[in-house]
Amino acid sequence: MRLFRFELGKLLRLPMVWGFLALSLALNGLFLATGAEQRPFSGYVASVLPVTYQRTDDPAFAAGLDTLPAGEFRELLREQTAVPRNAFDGMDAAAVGQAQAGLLGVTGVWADLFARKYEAYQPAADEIAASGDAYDVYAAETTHDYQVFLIGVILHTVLTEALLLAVLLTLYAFGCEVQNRTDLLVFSTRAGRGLNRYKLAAALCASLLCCLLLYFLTLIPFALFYSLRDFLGMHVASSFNYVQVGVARFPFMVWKSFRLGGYLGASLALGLALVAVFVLGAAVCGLLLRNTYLAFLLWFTLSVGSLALPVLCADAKLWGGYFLGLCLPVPVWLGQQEWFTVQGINAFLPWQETVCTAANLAASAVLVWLAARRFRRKDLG
Amino acid sequence: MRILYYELRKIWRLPVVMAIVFLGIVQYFLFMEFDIRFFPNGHPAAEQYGLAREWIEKYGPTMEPDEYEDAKQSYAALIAGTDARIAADARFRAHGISTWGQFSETVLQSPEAEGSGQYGDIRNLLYSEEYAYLGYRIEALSSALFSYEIRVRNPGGGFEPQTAAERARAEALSAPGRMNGIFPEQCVGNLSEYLCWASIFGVVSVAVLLGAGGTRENLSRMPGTLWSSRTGRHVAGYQFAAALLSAGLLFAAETLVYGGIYARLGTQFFWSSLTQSFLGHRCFWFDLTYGQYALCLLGFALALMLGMAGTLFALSQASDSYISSIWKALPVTVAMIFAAAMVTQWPFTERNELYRHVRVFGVEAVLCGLLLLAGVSAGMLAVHRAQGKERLE
Repeated sequence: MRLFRFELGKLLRLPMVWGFLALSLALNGLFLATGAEQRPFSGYVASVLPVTYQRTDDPAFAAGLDTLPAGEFRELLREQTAVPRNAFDGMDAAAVGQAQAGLLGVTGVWADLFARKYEAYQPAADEIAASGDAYDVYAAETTHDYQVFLIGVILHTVLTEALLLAVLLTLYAFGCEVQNRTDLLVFSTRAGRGLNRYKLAAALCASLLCCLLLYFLTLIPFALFYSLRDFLGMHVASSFNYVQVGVARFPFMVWKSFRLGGYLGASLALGLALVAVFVLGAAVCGLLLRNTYLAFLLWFTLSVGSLALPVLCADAKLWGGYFLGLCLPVPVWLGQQEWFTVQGINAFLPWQETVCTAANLAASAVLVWLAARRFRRKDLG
Repeated sequence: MRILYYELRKIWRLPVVMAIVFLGIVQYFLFMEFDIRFFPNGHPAAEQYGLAREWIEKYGPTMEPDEYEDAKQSYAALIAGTDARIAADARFRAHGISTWGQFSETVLQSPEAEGSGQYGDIRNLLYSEEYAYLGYRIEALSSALFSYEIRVRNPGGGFEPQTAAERARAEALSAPGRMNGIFPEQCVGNLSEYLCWASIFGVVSVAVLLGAGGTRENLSRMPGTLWSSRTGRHVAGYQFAAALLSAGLLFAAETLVYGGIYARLGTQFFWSSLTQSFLGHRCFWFDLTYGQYALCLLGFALALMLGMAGTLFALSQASDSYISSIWKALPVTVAMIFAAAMVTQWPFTERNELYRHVRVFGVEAVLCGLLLLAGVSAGMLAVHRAQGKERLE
């Protein structure tokens, strides 16, 4: 425990960490300022929720609107909610799947796997349709932009920063002894090469802490400026929410009818898991290479390579490679905006991002174990 | 010279070079191959591009009034040929169509021309490979002649000037003979997008190559040893020169590789053609040929890469651990990538994002110049600091 505390202290005392966090928060502040365009209307929708309530099919919604002072936004909201819509009512998930498969051009056993994902989705669609969650007004016509801004821009930026920080912290933890020429001294102590365990735990802890800090320090101003609190109870499967694929729009087909609060919580949990995957991946690089810069370069080229793998495989119609590529951590991170949905052509399995993150976590743990074993057996030189 | 060579050897290490090559290949297949594979991008872009080439071969880089008359005759001949082909084809006759004029009035104006409509089959036929994309060729030629009428014979249209400089430029282009250049504008769009990705990769490759150079020196306690050599503290100057030279070499290598691939498109055919043409819709702030435009873009890339090299040299000299140097290099790299994307997309036109914000002609070149100056100054400052540093303190 004492060694763990020392290692954690080493990381958290780095001025660079706090500098990076400050820079990241400044950048997030800049991004927060870019969403001001949609704010007036979504803010209005949020402000009238105590009067209208959240479901557009509820007669109280229209009645509530009538009691509000006349204005441009009220009429706009009335117009947008005049015909309550349940995008999941009568949804044929298989037909959506066929349309998506057509876009991708997938064939053979992978096409069957792809079709099975949509078959598996049908009960979820029926359940959402029956619950009427899709009638939620959310932010009305600005819902898609709001959701994209919140998840696709702000939280994605936060996660990107957290992942980068996690990798750098981990590489520093594993490389600092060599750099400070304390490696021979440290590895000849009683703890010896077992110290790597504490280094990994410290890197993991520091990374998760930094990730949480970034999430909360970014979400608090977001909540203040963009009425997040008012929308937390809205279902993300609202008919106003959609996913754009080329020129086609598809409903936000979540596997479970999340409220926005729950969706954010699940995103945060998966984000933390992904941070752990990146920490383990960086630990493998740090254990294999003594030179921290080369370790970073190895991690960077592997990440870029895994980003390119699905694209190149899809181009060459190698669907096995495409599927494998989509399961790697970097493509999972890239698809954050559509986590917990069917993810269109970017997924072959139900809950793919969750399954893949769990699998990546397990695979990375095995790789770390193998790398640590190699490190333990390595002779000086 | 020997010291410079040793410094270069320190920078160009095999694993780093291999990483750059790998990243370059990935970058090409992910972002740049599209501009090669799909140029010209479908129809009628292919016909417009082909027409511009044909006209330059026939009339030279500009189209004079007598040549315009000749082009009109070519159009008449093309229509006559089309009339003959349509009249001879039973599939058109079945719809009571025997000339291009009838086809144009009856089929093209009808909603039945789409997909499975009544005229869908013959509409598709005339625009198909079987007819050598005749429909597209006629449309491209007719549209080009129309553009000549509008932009050369009746200048002044085109874009809405918003500043005094833009108004002056629009006025200058209204003078006779200023808009008669023959040039397919899609070449500029394609080139600027391709070179935008190439510049971004250029910046990233410099970051990868030089990101930790100075740090490695510091970690292996080299500065002190080298300062006590006969060359003394001048070695810092050699190191800086090696960093700049490495960025230059990277630029040359990338220009050779990516430029060689791009040359396969054959757009260098337009090297001496003015980018300002009646065939395009954009207003260029300067009278540049396609070749000069390409060289400007390459100059931007080189300036950014050298600026990046100078900055990274300074930052890595001031870092005592690899992670610290990566941490410092990250924001600089992101900023430079952002700058590369801003300056290389349609520079010297209203479509350039940076221009839209500041509305100053040539702002792209100014930004690149400033970044180059800042980077090189930072590097020189680092050299100066190294030379003046007191080791006893």
